[in-house]
Amino acid sequence: MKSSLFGSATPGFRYAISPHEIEDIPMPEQAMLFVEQPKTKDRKYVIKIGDTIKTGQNVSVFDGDASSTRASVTGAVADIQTYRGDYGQTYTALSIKTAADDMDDAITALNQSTDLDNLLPFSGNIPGAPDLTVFKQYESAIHTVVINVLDDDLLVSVNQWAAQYQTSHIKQGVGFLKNISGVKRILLIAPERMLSIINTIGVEVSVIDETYPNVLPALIMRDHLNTILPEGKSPEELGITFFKAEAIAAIGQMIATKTMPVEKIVTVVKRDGSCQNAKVRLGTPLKAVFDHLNITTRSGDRVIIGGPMRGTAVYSEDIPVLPTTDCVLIQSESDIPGVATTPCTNCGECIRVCPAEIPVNVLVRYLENGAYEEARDLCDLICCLECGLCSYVCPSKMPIFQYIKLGKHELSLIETAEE
Amino acid sequence: MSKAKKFVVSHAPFWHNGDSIKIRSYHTMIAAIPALMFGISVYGLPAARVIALSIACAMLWELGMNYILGQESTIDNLSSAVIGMLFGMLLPATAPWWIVVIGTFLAVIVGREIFGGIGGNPFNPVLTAVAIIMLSWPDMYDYYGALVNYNPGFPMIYPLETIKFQGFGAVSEISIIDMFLGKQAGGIGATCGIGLILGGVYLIYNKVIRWEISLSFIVGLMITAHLFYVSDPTKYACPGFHLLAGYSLIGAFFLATDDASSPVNFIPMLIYGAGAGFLTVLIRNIGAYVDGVVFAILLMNLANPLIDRLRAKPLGKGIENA
Repeated sequence: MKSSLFGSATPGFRYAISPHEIEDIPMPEQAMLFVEQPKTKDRKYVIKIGDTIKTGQNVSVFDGDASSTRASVTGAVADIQTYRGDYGQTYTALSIKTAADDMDDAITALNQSTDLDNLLPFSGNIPGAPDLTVFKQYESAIHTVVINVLDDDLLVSVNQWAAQYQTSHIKQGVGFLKNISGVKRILLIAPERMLSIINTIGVEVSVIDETYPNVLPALIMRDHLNTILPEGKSPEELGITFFKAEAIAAIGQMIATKTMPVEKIVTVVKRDGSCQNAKVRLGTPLKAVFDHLNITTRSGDRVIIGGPMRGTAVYSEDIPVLPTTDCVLIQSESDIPGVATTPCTNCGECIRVCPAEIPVNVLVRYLENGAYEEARDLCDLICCLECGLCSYVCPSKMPIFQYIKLGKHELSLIETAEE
Repeated sequence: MSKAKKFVVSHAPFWHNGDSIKIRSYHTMIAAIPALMFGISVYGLPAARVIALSIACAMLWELGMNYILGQESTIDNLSSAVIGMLFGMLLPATAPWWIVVIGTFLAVIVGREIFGGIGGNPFNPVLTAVAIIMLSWPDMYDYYGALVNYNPGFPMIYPLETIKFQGFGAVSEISIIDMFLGKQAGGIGATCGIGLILGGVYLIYNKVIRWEISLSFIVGLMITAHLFYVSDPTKYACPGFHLLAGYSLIGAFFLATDDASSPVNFIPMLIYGAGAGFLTVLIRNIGAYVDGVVFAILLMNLANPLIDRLRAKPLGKGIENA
């Protein structure tokens, strides 16, 4: 890590340099679909072991339409289990014994028309997980669409790969966005080194400085749209929405080929830090990816979905590649930096790196003691952009980022309870 | 799902830059070596004895406190070793053993542990101890009395005291260059200007201390000293003299920059440093004490929680709708 001598600026972390080599991962024998479980208690399974599922089919797990996903494989349901994620979120995990692809009627319907209404059901279930519902939810209030060519964490090069090798699909995706009513401006955020390719897309481009964490939405809004995202608001409330380049490529592919894209690029970071991109069928368990790349995992390793700064460690390698899974990172036991119970020494390193200028040194004192409301009111907890740099630089090795996430989670629980 | 393999889960981020309190303590000790070596070469074994005893006592006090409170031992982060070392550097070489034992108790236990240990102290622990000793045993920091038997080959003058009572003209025999090289009486590790500056630059380069505080301390001190000097050059010393005399440099690089008792935001750091420099000269020139660094920094420590509230508005705060 580089940082300037009188480092008042953020450390000089750079995003991934170029798209890594690509490896095709074959269709796994057993795939897995994840469906978010509703929080309500009284729910009834409408799916059972033995049911067959077609590619592109809308799979409902419980009665009511609240929780469903689009199948990315064809096959029979072999097992139904529950997976527990972070912060109390639970998922229903459907194991599927895969067979040759059989397209669902929903996909054949794409041959008729590829309007927004036709694509909406696939929203969130194609690579890059584009959330097209924002165009309906905010009733043509979305006026600016930002397409991000860089990835949102270090080492990852999924969106860069899409921009480099799926340029024609991105072009088609951009064309689709232009036709959505209300959208006035489409802005591509790209690093300078990729301009020669990006300029062929024919849309407004803004050059981004590749220093981490400039890719975070609030910083893109500040640097490229001259808009400050108010504390606690979503960009959509201001009429701005963000898409990954991969998601736009997937939309373009859908329009061009009239099928649902079911393969996604995943950056795999091996133990030694070397990166490789793999083309993976959605729903492939991580274990199948590791096996194909000759990676063996051991007890005591850490398997991380997402990048090194903002990812999530998982406890099982049976977890599938989801539309949002951009990166899988494996760390050996000896490489895992620990956290400590040492208190804050007030060294000020976090203050220097914080891109949101939050008083982290005081904030962490409130959070340590569970004073979440004071943390919000006095120390700007909600302004945190969740880049993780404060934990990265802390000499006391305090889990500051975890405290912040926990604080936000607890506050959201308090707010729900009050309603 | 198979439970055969047990992975380690933890929260992001999964990287760390490798910095630790221990490394920062080592850096501080390395930075003190030039000034300390000079002091030991001038005053010989008694100086080394004071430093060694001071470091050992400080660590033992912390260990004892850990034991009494039933805590895990925290001395391996070496923060109390640094406190002991700095306390020793301020003492004259002839300090008796009991003042070292009491002083380190005051620094480690009264100055820090009773406030909750590392990071909790509102005042610089070393200066808390020095201030209490200055008030209780004023002779301890009388360098003329303490160093009367030394003849290291340069005039054993404690410049601040001479100026205080005899005016600037009385120290004409000692040049700025001599003071810069450490040819003056004073604390074991506080006299060698060049050594302290080297140490300070090392600390700033390794980001152990915040350069804003050191720089503003020096600037504040020199501007104030200059104003006094212009008003009456016969009575008040020139800015360079103030910078090199007494505890000025050790204060700028090692004492004012104590993490827990100093601000972390940019403007507050400047106010804090400049304020301490200003008060130092004020106390030296018109106050009752010979050297003002100790009380100047303690006073600014007191103001720290208040001035550190001056900070930039965070991203997204206070904007209703753009």
